[in-house]
Formats: sequence, structure tokens, C-alpha cells
Amino acid sequence: MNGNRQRILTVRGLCKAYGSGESRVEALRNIDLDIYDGELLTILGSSGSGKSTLLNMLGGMDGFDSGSVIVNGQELAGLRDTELTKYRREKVGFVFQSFNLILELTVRENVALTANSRDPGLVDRMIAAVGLTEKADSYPTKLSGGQQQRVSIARALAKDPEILLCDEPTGALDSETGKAVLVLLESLSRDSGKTVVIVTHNRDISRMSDRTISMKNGVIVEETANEAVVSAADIEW
Amino acid sequence: MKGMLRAIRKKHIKLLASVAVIASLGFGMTAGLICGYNSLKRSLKDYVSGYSYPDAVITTEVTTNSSADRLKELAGVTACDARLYADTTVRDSEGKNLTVRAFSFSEEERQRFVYWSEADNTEDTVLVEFKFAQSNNIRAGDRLSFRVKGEYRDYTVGGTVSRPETLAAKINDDSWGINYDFGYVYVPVSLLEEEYAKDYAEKKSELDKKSEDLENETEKAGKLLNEKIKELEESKKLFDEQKQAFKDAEEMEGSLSEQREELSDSEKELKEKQTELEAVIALTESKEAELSEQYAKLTEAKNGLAAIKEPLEQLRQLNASLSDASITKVIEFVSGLLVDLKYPVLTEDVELLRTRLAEAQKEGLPERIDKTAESVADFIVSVDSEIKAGIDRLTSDEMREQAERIAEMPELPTGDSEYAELIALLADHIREATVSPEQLTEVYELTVNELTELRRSLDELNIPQTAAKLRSIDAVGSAEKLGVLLQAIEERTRTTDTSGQTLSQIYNGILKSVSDMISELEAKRAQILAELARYGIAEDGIDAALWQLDQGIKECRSQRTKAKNGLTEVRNGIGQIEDGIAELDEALEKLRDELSKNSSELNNAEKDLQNAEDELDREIVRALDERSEIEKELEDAYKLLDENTGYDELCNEFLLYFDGSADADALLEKAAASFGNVKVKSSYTYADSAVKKRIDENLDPIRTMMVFLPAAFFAIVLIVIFLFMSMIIKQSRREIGILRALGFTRGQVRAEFCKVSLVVCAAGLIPGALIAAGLSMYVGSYFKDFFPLPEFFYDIGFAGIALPAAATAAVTLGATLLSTGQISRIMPDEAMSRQVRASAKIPALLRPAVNSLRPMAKVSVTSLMRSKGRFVISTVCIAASATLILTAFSFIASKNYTVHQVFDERIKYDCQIFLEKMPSDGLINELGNRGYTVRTEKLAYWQTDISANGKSRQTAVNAIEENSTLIGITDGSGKELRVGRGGIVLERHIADELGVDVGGTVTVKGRDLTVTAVSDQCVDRIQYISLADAQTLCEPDLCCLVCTLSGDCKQELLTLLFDTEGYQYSVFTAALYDYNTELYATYDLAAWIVIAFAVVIGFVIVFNTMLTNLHENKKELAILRTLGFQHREISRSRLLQALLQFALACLIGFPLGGLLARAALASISTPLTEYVYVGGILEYVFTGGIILAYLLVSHLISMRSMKKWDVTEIVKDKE
Ligand SMILES: Nc1ncnc2c1ncn2[C@@H]1O[C@H](COP(=O)(O)OP(=O)(O)OP(=O)(O)O)[C@@H](O)[C@H]1O
Ligand SMILES: [Mg+2]
Repeated sequence: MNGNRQRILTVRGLCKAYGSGESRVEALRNIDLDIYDGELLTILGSSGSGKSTLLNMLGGMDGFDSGSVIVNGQELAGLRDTELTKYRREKVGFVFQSFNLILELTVRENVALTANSRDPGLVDRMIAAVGLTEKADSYPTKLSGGQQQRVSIARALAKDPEILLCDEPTGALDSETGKAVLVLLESLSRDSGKTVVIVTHNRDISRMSDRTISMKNGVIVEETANEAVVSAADIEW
Repeated sequence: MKGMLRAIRKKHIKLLASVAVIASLGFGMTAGLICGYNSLKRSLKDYVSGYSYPDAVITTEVTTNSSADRLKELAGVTACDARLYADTTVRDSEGKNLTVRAFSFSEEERQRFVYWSEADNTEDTVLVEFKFAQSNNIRAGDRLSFRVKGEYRDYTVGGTVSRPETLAAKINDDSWGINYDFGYVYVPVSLLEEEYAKDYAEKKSELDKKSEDLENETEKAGKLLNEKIKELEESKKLFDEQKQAFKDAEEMEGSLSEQREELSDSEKELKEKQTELEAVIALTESKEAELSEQYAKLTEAKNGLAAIKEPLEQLRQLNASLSDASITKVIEFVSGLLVDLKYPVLTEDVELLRTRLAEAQKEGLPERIDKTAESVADFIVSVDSEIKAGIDRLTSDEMREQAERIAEMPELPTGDSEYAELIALLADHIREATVSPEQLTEVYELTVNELTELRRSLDELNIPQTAAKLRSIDAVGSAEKLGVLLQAIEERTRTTDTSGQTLSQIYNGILKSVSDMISELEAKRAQILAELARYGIAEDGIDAALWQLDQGIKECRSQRTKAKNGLTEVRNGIGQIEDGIAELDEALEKLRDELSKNSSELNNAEKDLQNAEDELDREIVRALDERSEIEKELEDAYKLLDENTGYDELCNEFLLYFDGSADADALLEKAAASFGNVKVKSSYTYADSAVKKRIDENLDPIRTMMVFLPAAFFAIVLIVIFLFMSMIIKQSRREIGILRALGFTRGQVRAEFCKVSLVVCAAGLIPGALIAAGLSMYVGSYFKDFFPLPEFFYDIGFAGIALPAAATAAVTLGATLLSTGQISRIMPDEAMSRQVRASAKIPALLRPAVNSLRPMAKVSVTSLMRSKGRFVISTVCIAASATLILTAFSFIASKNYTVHQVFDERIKYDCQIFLEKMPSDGLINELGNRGYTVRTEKLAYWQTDISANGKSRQTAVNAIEENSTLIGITDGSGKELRVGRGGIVLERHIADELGVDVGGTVTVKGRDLTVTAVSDQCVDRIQYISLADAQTLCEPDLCCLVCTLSGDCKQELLTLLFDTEGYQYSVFTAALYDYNTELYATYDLAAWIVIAFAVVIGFVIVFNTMLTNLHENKKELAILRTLGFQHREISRSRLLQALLQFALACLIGFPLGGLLARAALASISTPLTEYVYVGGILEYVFTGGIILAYLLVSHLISMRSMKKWDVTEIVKDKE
């Protein structure tokens, strides 16, 4: 099934360790991973298993120790900070577990912040897509957690990224709001054909994805193609 | 708690450390400089405190000590030291020529010097002023050749010394002579006396002239005395005449006194008679009063009786009629009847009855009933009409009249309660009224027969009359109440029955009232009669008694009138006598005044005569004494001169010590005048205490630089410390919130923070104290050398250390207490919430503008707004640093500019040679011929008054050659000015003060000169005239040559000059410049210290604010980084902030710095030289450069630290 799809992201032998000496933690150990265009992938694992670290590496948030990460033919290893930043700016949409909105900017401005396109209507369309048109001029502090998470998704989408990386997008939300966010991500993947990677520690959520990767102690321990994809709307947890 | 605080400390360690650093530097600098200043002040004062400085100094041509003795005799002069001095030259062992002012000193003075170094042998040695010795390498034990009478003679330097008079002074107006080419030496008097031996011949001729003068004067004095004796005799004659006149006046006074005695006797007699008559009048008056009183009483009694008589009569009649037995009877009857009989009075009821009877008839009731009913109806109708008739009668006018008559009767009983009772009774009866046909039927038979009787009784009862009586009770004015009563009775009589009992009650009440009234009136009458009886007067005897009393009164009055007439006569008599006495007294007083005046006048005249006589005697004696004294003096002087031993009597400088209360100026004038024909060269007083003034002159500018500047800076540092501490605590808001949420009390939180701030305080103050100590030592040692001072006390006292330290501690603790107090008062949940960070309030005014910015710009603006407190603080700090740095730079630059103006622009000569008189061209030629000088010009100087427009100023006037090139005068634009004949170049300030401009006229030394130009060179307020004009004015105060030298020929030049007639001394521009430079360095020292500290403190503050600012916005910036914003984009926006801050700081700091620099310059300005503020572009650039540099460095460092951020870590968690 994967064979006929284009590989958008290739990870080979990725290693990342934090600290040194006594306190050295090997967060990622020799990770190999392929991600295909238009795929909805979930990364599953218990706390501390290295999910966020992996996602950060994919998003160019930090350099890694060894191995290679190739995104659409571009090798991330050995990039200078400016180039890495450029990669983040242009290629990746990142949805943080804790939203990370800029509190001084309105919803619209937060979304517009990284919009690469000059299309003036784009920002509003993105806001509309996450159903926050009415809140477009509000400040993040005036929004609920779910609404903030949706702004964060809109912001990630506004730059029209090649790949959307979401770290625990529902982690801070109740199940009802979380589900709405998941439905949104699902529709992005299914309707717009975006490549979406969702990190979660919740096995139920992984049921909505095409493929699930399980991690433990910085190693991928299992990779399952999901035969019976469940719609996000039907997931309960 | 402990852990949490450790966390807080860790979080803010950098800020806390920087507070400590700022505190230590600010406190250290301030305390150090202030202590340095205080030490200097104290050391100077200590140094001079044991030394009494003269109040005035007079220098004269050489004279003898006797002048000093004369000065000592002047009132107000407490002491006078005389010494001999000469400006001469010495050669050191290397052959170098030095100009010195050599003073003689006595053995006892030798002890008063401060010895910096001392040779073993102190006999017959010279002492050299320390500073001069130091700068010319002269040491104790060296040999110095003194030029004496054209020859050089060796002396040993016994020591280097100082005394307060050698203290280096601020560059003031008369210190141009002070430089290191010119020094004070103290020499044995013999050295100087030899120098002055040439004066001998002059002295002798002087003495000859004096003795001649003496002869002439004696003759003149003799003539004067004879005239005075004659005058005295004439005044004696006049005095005798006056004495005779006085005796005559005394006799006249005796006779007048006798007359006065007589008059007072007769006045006494009359006064006795007056007393008698006054007694008679008083007696008759009292008797008349008594009689009048009796008369009044009697009349009153009579009127009382008359008033009572008529009402009594009426009442009695009424009583009689009321008491009639028949009425009582009727009332009793009616009463009985009415109790039982109640009958209808309304015709409607009768109608009803009739209808019912008619119905009964129809039904065929027995005839008897029919008949009965008929008669009942008739009866009712008849009774009804009877009653109605009664009512009519009641209301008839006649009855009312009767009632009113009774009402007019006086003094009826008037108890309110009685009326109330009556009204109540009547009301009861009205209520009881019921109509009952059954009852009527029942009593029908009983009453038929008695009906006639009833009608009669009713007539007799006369109800209306009774009612009228009641109404009459209106005597007290309760008309309303009575009206109600009357109405009730009328109503009652009209509508229903009257209870017999009630009627009887009413009747009896009235009866009782009447009889009560009667008895009351009778009692009154009896009382009056009894009263009369007491006086033995019967009722019919009243009129007779009244007549008698009237007669008595009349008699009293006639007696009094007589007495009064007598009294008036007596009084007139007394008045006349008194007038006479007053007249006499006046005359006597006048006479006596005159006598006493005359007598004191006579006494005075006598005394005056005596004094004049004595004075004359004394004068004669004195004249003789003086003559013999002067003769003797002259004789002594001759002897001294002849014996050639009198040199140690020579002196030419007199140091005067005044009584504290004396007017120094006046005294000095007197002292200068006492020299007679010995020429006084100069005389001046040291206003107030000279020492104090000189010390103050030195201290004032140093204080500005060492106390005021640091204090200003310290104030700003304190503000910064306050703000930093507040900021630290405000940033711990969340932690305090958590602590409070965990149950720690406010006090506990505050105490912990106080501990932290105490530690910070200590961390600031301890190194600060060390810095202060070091700085004050450094400054102290500097001043010790400069002045020089034998001892230097380090005054690390209250004002220097404790005060700034206390201020630092107070501010640190105050900020802590205030802020913890504020924050711990906020509820914990609010304090912990992160929302607070987001509440960067943008002022409503700016909001539209901010909202229209690009997001990136908006982030940077809002981050600026969020940290605006810190932004303001750091801007203020940078501005403060800029202010101080610019102040110090500008001060140094402006001062250097002025110095440059003096030494490079105006003074173009190398040497100024002072001479006694204007030099001949021969000297100038010789100097040129020998190749010493390149160009030489003459210059004359006056310190004189210059006047115009009625105003006058004392100022310096220089006369220079018309085409002078060595003395540069320029106008404001730097154009050189020339002087011309008859013209004067005025200095701008002087021109302004006098109100003249080019073309105007000013007067100098009595000559009118035209203003040809106004110079403006900011220094040396000197006026220039041409030398040609100078010759026509009086002798100048100073004459000199100014010249440029060719190469190093100073020594040769001096050698030549020392042999020149009239040569005084030379001033070399280079030496003067060196001296001034050293003096200015004392001011620059503090300026540089301030600059150094301002730079360091400013950097610490700015660096810290930039870093913490960055930290504060770390989260937002990190998010931007994760979103892909480049490092340089963020850096650019932050750099813009820094530049904005730079611009603001310059905007505030530069003008302030200019102001402060002006103040500092004003403190070193003198009346002659104004140190102008030169706002050079260079200082601004320097200052701006330093500020910009540390802003940029801080920016770079903070950006580097941003590079090291691990963005993934920062955005991971919420905080
Ligand atoms: N900045 C860092 N410094 C040191 N160790 C780190 C750092 N970031 C992550 N680690 C370590 O790396 C390992 C993987 O962390 P990571 O954040 O990827 O876990 P995770 O799977 O995302 O867990 P969670 O589900 O709790 O978010 C953990 O053991 C963690 O302690
Ligand atoms: Mg994670």
C-alpha cells in the first residue's frame, strides 16, 4: 500500500541524546521511519518514550546527534541555524501540546504571523476552517483551551506546510473538545490531502490514523497499518 | 519556604547581584568622594586653626619699627607684626636663577613653621617654602646664593617649610604671581637689611626734613594756643552775667508760692459748706420719695375699693335672684319629672304614630285606642310646640343681652375643669335621649294632669337665661368652648329633654360660682380695708390722708430747691478758686522749668569752662611732650643712623590684627594714614576671616565636583535600586502567590524577602565601604600633596559614610517592604495566574496605531509595553549616566577651552617682566640686542574705577601698544581688535554693566575715552587703552614688559634683569601654565572619577535591564523562533528598542548635562575670568559614543544568550 505513495519524509538512524555523563539520556535511538504524502500517522507511546523528541527533530526544532532526516529531498542533518529556521518557517506546520500562541496578538494576527502566501483571504479562510471566524479579533487569553488549540492548528495551516506535526493536540483538552480538534485534523488529512503526524499516548486516538508507530525508550517498537480506520467522530475515550 | 526562596533567589540572582554591584559602586563613589572632600576640609581647617592670620596687611616703603608701635596704639588694633621683605633672586647649586620673595622672621616665629624637612644646623639659615622647594629640587642642607647688594652670598637651606600663608590658592584675581618660578623664602633679617642699606642716606635727609617741620609746627601751635586762651576768658565773663539772672528768678518763685497757699485755704472752707448742702438735698430727696410712695399706695387702695364696689353689688343681686326659693323648688320638681319622662319631639315620629293609629282604625280596633291615640297625638303636638316656643325664647335677643351683661362682670371663677365637667354632663344627656312610644303611653295618664304645672315650671325655669349665664363665663376668652356649650344646650332644648338633675347641677354650679366670686371680692375689699387700718385710715378718711401727704411732698421740694441754689453758688466759688490755683501752678511750673534748665545750663557751662581750661592746659602739656618726644625720636633716629646699628628696626610689611568688633576697612584706612610721609604701597584687609575665606575659595569648586555631582548621581542610583528591588519582587509574584496559597502569612513572606534584601544590602555596602575608603584615601593623598598639608585626617564620618549607607539600606528595604506588602495582599490564585503576563496594557490612545502594525512589530511593541517599567528605569539610568558623563566632559572641555583662550589666544608672550617704572627703550633694545627676546612690548596696568552713564565699576585697565601682537584682543567672532589713541576697548560684560556700546564714552582716571570696540573673549575682563594715552594718565599700578623669548635663554635673561634698575620680578607663561594645570587637575580628578563610575554603573544597569528584558519576553521570542522567525529578525526589533532608548537618554541627558556643567563652571569662575560653557560637538559624540557602545554591547551579549536558548525546551511547558 505504501509503495504507490510518495515518500515525503525519510528518517534513517536518527539518534538524539540529552545531557552528558551521569545525566545523559538517550531520547532517540537509531530511529528509521518513512512518512508518505497525504498520510495520517499517529505516534503512540508512554510518557518519556521520546515522541516529542522525534517530532521536534522532524520539525527542525533542534539538531540531532546522528542519522539523517530528509524532507522532500532536503537533508536536515548539518543544517545551520538559519537554514533550519528557514525550514521551520516554510515547510512545517507545528501544533504544540501547549498551544504556544502569542498572547499579545489577536487570533488573526497569530495566524497571519507565519502565512507565507500573499493571498489576503488565506488567513480568514484558515480561521473559518477551524470555525473561529467570530473570534478572529479576540486575544488568545479570551479563548477556551480547545479554541486556542484550533487557532494553533490554523496558524500551522496558514503557511500551507508540506507536513503538519501535532504534539499531543488533545492533551490539554477534554474529550469533547479534543474530539472536535481531531475531526478537524482528520478532515485536513482526508479532504485536503495533507500529511499529518499526530503524537499521542492514547491508543484510542490512534485508531483514526492510517498507520500507527509505537515508541518505547526512544525506539520504535511497533508499526501497524490500520486496517479499519475509525472516523474521529466515532472515537470515544 | 526555604526551598521556594532559594528558587526565587536563584531566579533573580543576576538582578540581585547587579543591585549589589550598583549599590556598592554608587555608594562607594559617593561616600568616597564626600569623605575625601570632608577630609580635605577638616585637614585644611585643622592646619590653619592654630595659626592666627592677620586681618589686614600694609606694605610700605622701608621704614622703622616705630611705625608698628604707632599702629599698635590705634583703637581696634590688637597686634601688629612688622617684617621686612624683598623680591630678590637666588641661585641654586646648579646656577639656576630663581625669583623669591624673602621675608624676615624672628627666632620665636621659627617655631611656628611646619617643617617638611630640616637640616642639622639651623643657625643663620634660610627656610624655603615646601612646594617651591619641591618643584625646584631644593632640599634642606642645600646651598643657595642670595643676591645681596648686587653680590651673591651663600646661605644654607635650614629646612623646607610651610605655613598657611603659603597655601596654594584657587586661581583668583591676584594670584597671577603665584607660580613655581616664584616662591616664598624666610631669611634672617640681616640678609635683607643689607639689601636695604642704601636707604640710609634717604633716611637721613628725611630725618632732617622732619626736624625742620617740627620747628615750624611748634611755632604754629604756640599761636593757636594763645588764641584759645583769649576765647576762654570771654566765655567766663558771659557766664557770670547768666548767673545773676538766675538768682532773680529764684526770688520770684518764693512769692508766687505764698499766694497759692492762701487760695487753697479758702477753697477748703467752701468745700466743707458744699458737703453740708449736699447732705440736705439727699435728706429731702429720700423723704419725698417716702411720701410719694405712701401716696401712691393710698391711691391704689382707693381705686381698688372703687373697682370692687359695682361688680360686688351686681353679684349680690344676682345671687339674691338665683337663691330665690321658688326657683329651687321648680327645679327640683322638673328634675323629678324629667327623670322619668322622655318624649319625642320630632313631628316625623308623630306622623308615624298617626299613620299607625289610622291603620289600626281601618282594621277595626276598639274605639278607646282610637281615642287615646288621638289625644296622645294632640299632647305630643302641644308639648312639642311648647318646647319650640321655649327654644325661641332662649334665642331671643333679650335673653342674650342679659347673658352678656353677666359676662361683663369682673373676675368670675374661671376653672377650665369646671367647664369641661359641664360640657360632659350636657353631652351625656344628649346621648341618653331616646324616644319610646310605649313609655309615652305608659305615662300618659300620669302626666295629663300635671301638664299645665309643667308648662309653668318650664317658664319659670327659664332655661335660656341659665344658658346665657353659662355663656357669660366667657370672661377668660374661651369663647369657642362656650359657644359649643351654648350650642349643646340649645340643641338639647330643641331636640330632646333636659334632665332635671342636670339642670339642677348647672344651676347649682352657677350659683356656687357667683357666691364664690362674691366672697372673693369681699375678701379683697376686706384686705384693702385692713391695710388702710394699719395706717389708721378708715374708708372715709382716705381723701383727707391723701391731701396731707401731698402737702408734705410739696414742702420737701421747696426745701431742696433752696439747698440746690446754695450749692450752685458754692460750686461756682470753688471753680473760681481752682482756676486761680491752676493759673498760679502754671506760672510756677514755667518758672521752675526755666530755673532748672538755667541751672543745668549754668552747670554745663561751668563744666565746659572748666574742661576747656583743663583741655587747654593739657594741650599745652601735650604739645610740649609731643615736641620733646619727636625731638627725642629724631635724636634717636639720628643716633641710630649715625651708629649704623638700627637696621634690625627696618621693616616694610605690617601684619595687623584687629579687635573682632572693629570695622576692618575703616581701621585699615586709619592705619594707612598713620604712616604720614612714609609711602604706603598697598593695603588690604582679609574680609571676615582671611583663612576661612581662602580655604572656602579652595573648597567651593572642589565641593561642587566632589559632593554635589556624586550626590546627584547617587540619588539616581537610589531610585534605580528602588525600582530594581521592586521589580525583582514583582517578578516573584507567582512564587509569592504559591507561598501564600500554601498558607504562609504575609509577615513570613515579607520577613524572608527582607532577609534577601538585607543580604543584598550588605553585599552592596561592604564592598562599597571598601571602595569608599580606597577612593577617599586616593583623593586624600592627592590633596595632601597638592596643597601641601603636613597632616591629612581621614574623615570617614557620618555625613560621608553613614548617611549614604543608611539611605541605601532604607531604599533597599523600603522597596522590599512596599512591594512584598503590595503583592502579598493580592489573592494567591490571582498572583499565581499566568494571565497577568498577558495583561500588557496598551494605552487606549495607542491601541489603533499598535493594532495597525505588522504582527512582528506588534510583538515587539507589546513586549516593550510589558516591560515599560524596566524600559523607563533603564532609560532614566542611561540618561543619568549620559548626564554625568557629559557634565564631566563638558566641564573639562569648557575649562580647557578657557585656559586655552588665556594661554594660547590672549597671552602670546613667553615672559612678563615687572618693573617699578615704565622702562626706557634702552632696556628693550638691550634685550633684543643680546638676542634674548624676539619681540618686546610695554604694558601698564591699573586696578581702577571706570564710569559711564552715572554707573561705575572697579576693573582692570591695561595700556598696550597700538599695534600689539603679543596681547590678543578679539571680538566675539575671533577678529583681532586694536586700541587707538583716545579710545578704549571694553570687555563685553563691563560694557553691558555700564550700558555703553561702541561710540559711547567712558571715564577712566578722570579722562574721557571713546569706546572703539567691545571685546568678547570670555576670559579676563580687562579693558584696553593705548600706551600713548597711558602716559597722560596717572602712574600705573604695575608696569611691565611682555616679550617672546628666543629659545632657552631664561637664565641669561634673569641674570641681566637682576642688574637692571627698577626690576621687580618676572612671570614666565610656561611656569604659570604648569601651576594652573596642576590646580585644575584637582577639579578634573573628581570629574574623571565621576565619569568612570558613571560608565561602569550605567553599563551594569543597562546590561542587566537588557538581559532581564529579554528573559521576560523569552517565551514569546522562543515561540517566534519555533515558528521559523530568524534570529536576526528578532535581533533587529530589539536593537530598535535599544536605539529608541539611546535617543531618549540623549534627549534627556544632554540638556541636563549642559546645565550641570554650567553650574560647575560657575563655581570656579572669578570676577575676572568667566569659565564659559562650550557645548562642543566632541563631548556629545564622546558621551553618545559611550552610551551607544554599552547599549550595543549589551544588545550583542543578550542576543548571543538568545542564540543559546533551547527553543524546544522553552516552548514545552507553560511557564
Ligand atoms: N531538553 C532535555 N534535556 C534532557 N533530557 C530531555 C530533554 N528533553 C527530553 N528529554 C528526555 O528525553 C526523553 C524523551 O522525552 P520526550 O519529551 O520526547 O518524551 P515524550 O514521549 O514526549 O513524553 P510525554 O508523553 O510525557 O510528552 C525523556 O526521558 C526526557 O527525560
Ligand atoms: Mg511529549
